[in-house]
Amino acid sequence: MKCPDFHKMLQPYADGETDAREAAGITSHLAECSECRNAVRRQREMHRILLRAAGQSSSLNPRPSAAFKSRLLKNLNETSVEHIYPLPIQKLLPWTWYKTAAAAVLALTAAGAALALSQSSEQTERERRIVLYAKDSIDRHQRRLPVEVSGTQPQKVQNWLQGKIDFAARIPSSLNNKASLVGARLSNVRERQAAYFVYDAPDERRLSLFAFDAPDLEVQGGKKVDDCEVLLTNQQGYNVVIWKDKEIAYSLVSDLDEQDILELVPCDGEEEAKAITERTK
Amino acid sequence: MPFGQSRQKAEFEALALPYLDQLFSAAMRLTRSERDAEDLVQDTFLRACRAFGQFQRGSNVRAWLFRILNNTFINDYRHRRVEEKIIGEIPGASASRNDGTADDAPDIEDLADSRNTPEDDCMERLMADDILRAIDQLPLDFRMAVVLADLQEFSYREISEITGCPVGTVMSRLFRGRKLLRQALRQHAIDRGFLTASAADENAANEAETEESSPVDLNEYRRKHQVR
Repeated sequence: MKCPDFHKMLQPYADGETDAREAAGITSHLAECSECRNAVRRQREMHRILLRAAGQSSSLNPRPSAAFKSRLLKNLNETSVEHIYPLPIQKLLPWTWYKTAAAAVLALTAAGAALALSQSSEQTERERRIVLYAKDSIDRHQRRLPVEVSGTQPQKVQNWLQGKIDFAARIPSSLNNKASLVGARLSNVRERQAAYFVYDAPDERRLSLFAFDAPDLEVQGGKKVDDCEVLLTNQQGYNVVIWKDKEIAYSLVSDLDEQDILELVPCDGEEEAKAITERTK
Repeated sequence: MPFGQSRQKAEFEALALPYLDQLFSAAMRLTRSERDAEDLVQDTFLRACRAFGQFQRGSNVRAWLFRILNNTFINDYRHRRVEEKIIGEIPGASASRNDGTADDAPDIEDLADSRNTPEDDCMERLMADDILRAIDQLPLDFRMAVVLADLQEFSYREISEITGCPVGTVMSRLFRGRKLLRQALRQHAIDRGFLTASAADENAANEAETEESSPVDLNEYRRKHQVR
């Protein structure tokens, strides 16, 4: 075997990734080739130097702080091991499709429930997915993570988001004038990258609005009202409203009761919230 | 709380928490910020806890946790900071190759001596922070490979599982990442006066011989030599 053939094997050899037969061949080559020997030595030396650097704590390489550890343990304590399959069907019911107008809520509840009861397995799968999106939104909401950009101006938040997310999110400055924008952070909902907007209601209640691109989340099939279909589900004591606007999915989480949260949904086909829609890339 | 939940939780914590320091250290290299590293590690643990029901008992917990860390980072954190480095461009790695060869030499004992000194002796003298900073400047894919292989000492197979890349890709990223890292460290050594630029050039030239041929897929190599 010629020297260049060995060159290709030096990295795996130095990393201990060669089998015994390969290693024996390379070892005997190294005995007579100082160039290859040096290459192996260099790699091993560098590995040692890197390990040593990583072993020293410094501002660039801090150990997890005690405060962080206790926070982590506390949050871990509030998290539970999930058993996704199969989801108990009771949790999915009642499924209701609402219009944002309070008056329509009552009228539509019965129809929505009936629809939910007659679900096919395809629908079950679809609903299961919706519940997972809702639960994940709740999970983020519960953790009360700090905002990364604060401000009541959608434009400021929009600028901050620029280049950080690859879809266009609509940022209302307020939720129908009942809760105002506090700030935003990056998040995710079920593996999907999400923009997370925080709103405060006057009673200091925090509302979480997530925007994410979720092609597998279908809001169709319910009642179509003003170009906007809204799903509402109650999970773990929270109400979650999910809708889509220009193909982007939104989930709004709060412990407000059903009627109150529906009144906050800034999606009713009108441009009444000074929405900013812009493609961020 | 459903029956068995607390037992599973205790099992998860006993298996996963011992890796907190390692995950945090890797998260520091990936996010380059303590706050982001805390968020990333916390997200990793919470996600792992929720998914623990699907974890195969007896399989590699450490690799499983790192895979979740990797996925969480790729999905959530990568976009936080625009990756400022373009592949192959480490600032300063080649910038001063041609200047200040003779002029900055006086306080380096003598050239012949430097030449005989293995380059790694100079690297030995580099500060840990210089080394970490050089790692942090690597383009993401290469940094990930170097962190997993050199700092966390995962095998190629494990890195392949963690990153979801074939072993051949892991090897080539590792190879190129280490090469960029060596260039950056060499430059640091020159900047600190541990190494003269001309000695560095010579070292680089020697290396070029062995490194030019770039990495191969281990399998390809084996196939080739099996035939003989």
